Amino acid sequence: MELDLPFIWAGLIAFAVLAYVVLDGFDLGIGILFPLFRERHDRDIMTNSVAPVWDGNETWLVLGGGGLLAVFPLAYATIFPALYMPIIAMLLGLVFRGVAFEFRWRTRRASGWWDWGFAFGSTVAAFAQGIALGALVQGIHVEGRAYAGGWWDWLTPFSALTGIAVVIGYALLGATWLNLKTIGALQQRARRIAVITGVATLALIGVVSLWTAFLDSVYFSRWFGFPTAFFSAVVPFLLALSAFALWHGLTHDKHLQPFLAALAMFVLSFIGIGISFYPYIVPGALTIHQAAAPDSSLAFLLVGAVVLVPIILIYTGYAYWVFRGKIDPEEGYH
Amino acid sequence: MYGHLSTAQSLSPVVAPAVGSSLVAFIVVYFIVFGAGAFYILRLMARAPVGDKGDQDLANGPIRTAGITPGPAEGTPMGAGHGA
Repeated sequence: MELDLPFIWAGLIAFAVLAYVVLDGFDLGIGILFPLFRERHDRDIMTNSVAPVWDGNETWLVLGGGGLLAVFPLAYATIFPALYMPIIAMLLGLVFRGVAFEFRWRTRRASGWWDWGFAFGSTVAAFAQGIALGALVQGIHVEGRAYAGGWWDWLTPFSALTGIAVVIGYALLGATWLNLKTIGALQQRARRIAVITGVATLALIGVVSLWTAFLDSVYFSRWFGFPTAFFSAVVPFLLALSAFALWHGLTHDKHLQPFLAALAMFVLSFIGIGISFYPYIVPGALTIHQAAAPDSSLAFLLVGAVVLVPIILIYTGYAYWVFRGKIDPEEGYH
Repeated sequence: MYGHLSTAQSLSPVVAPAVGSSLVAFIVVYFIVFGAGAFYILRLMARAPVGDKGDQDLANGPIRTAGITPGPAEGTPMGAGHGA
């Protein structure tokens, strides 16, 4: 049987982007929630809860972006010029929040500044990612084999809404992560925030999904046409189930369940986007097969990916295992 | 690519103001970040290490997957607390 290499690679890239969104999502969420916690001690615990894993989480973005260049060069060449501004804003935001992890421990005078840098950088990065998603969903203007739109095309009411949705959604992931990793008053506080952001996230997913369906007739028929609607209706059904699991976990003093439920909401939203896009990689312009590099390149790179991705997954899982359990409030305070 | 693609042909369709503003933004951000970083490194260097007891400054930082450096970090409470 002939392997459909572009399809396999589309799955791998999608997996890398999804891994990035759910993993970096919760640690960006910690930064987004920073302004709500004024106590220095709380903030130390919050950063320490993600300090061992956040940089590993961010590396999935490199696989997603670098992989796109290698295996879907045409998608890379059209998407990145279209999203130039939000991607640059995201990178600069990530720079600020990355150094804030270290710098906020090195100064007493300016630690407030770095705390703001951490919160601001995280929020900008999350908002830019949401805008990039919205800009891709609403379609980018491709002529021939190149991007043909302007440099402000990404900014529309729809992309602004998806930007806000991602910020709120990441805040939900961060709050449920804190509910998992902390104890006492901080955990109680995180749980209340998780309820509020959970309701807001669900509402925003609903609004964005409906708006998406009316953006383009292809999207509409995927979700409301007969008979595809029967299959795609599984996604909103499972989403409702996850939302219930989130609410149930938060009201019944469960620590892991709300976090997993919030992750499930993100995974399902991502699958929903996949259902809307397929078989396109740049909606309305380029399909997965049109954008793919030659099969020889795809096969060559796949050999590396088949070896490396499982290894990365294993040691990432091991890192989470080593740092499992609640954060000791005295840790890092000797 | 020699004989195939000239530099002018391979330009991405990103307009000059976009490239310019991102360049300026990178310069500003890097000056802030590296300026502050150099300042903190110099301040750490100004203080002599405490010796056997381990450096309080290093212990008083974020939790790390790996230690800081093998030498001074060994035997600090941080290094001791995170063996697998």
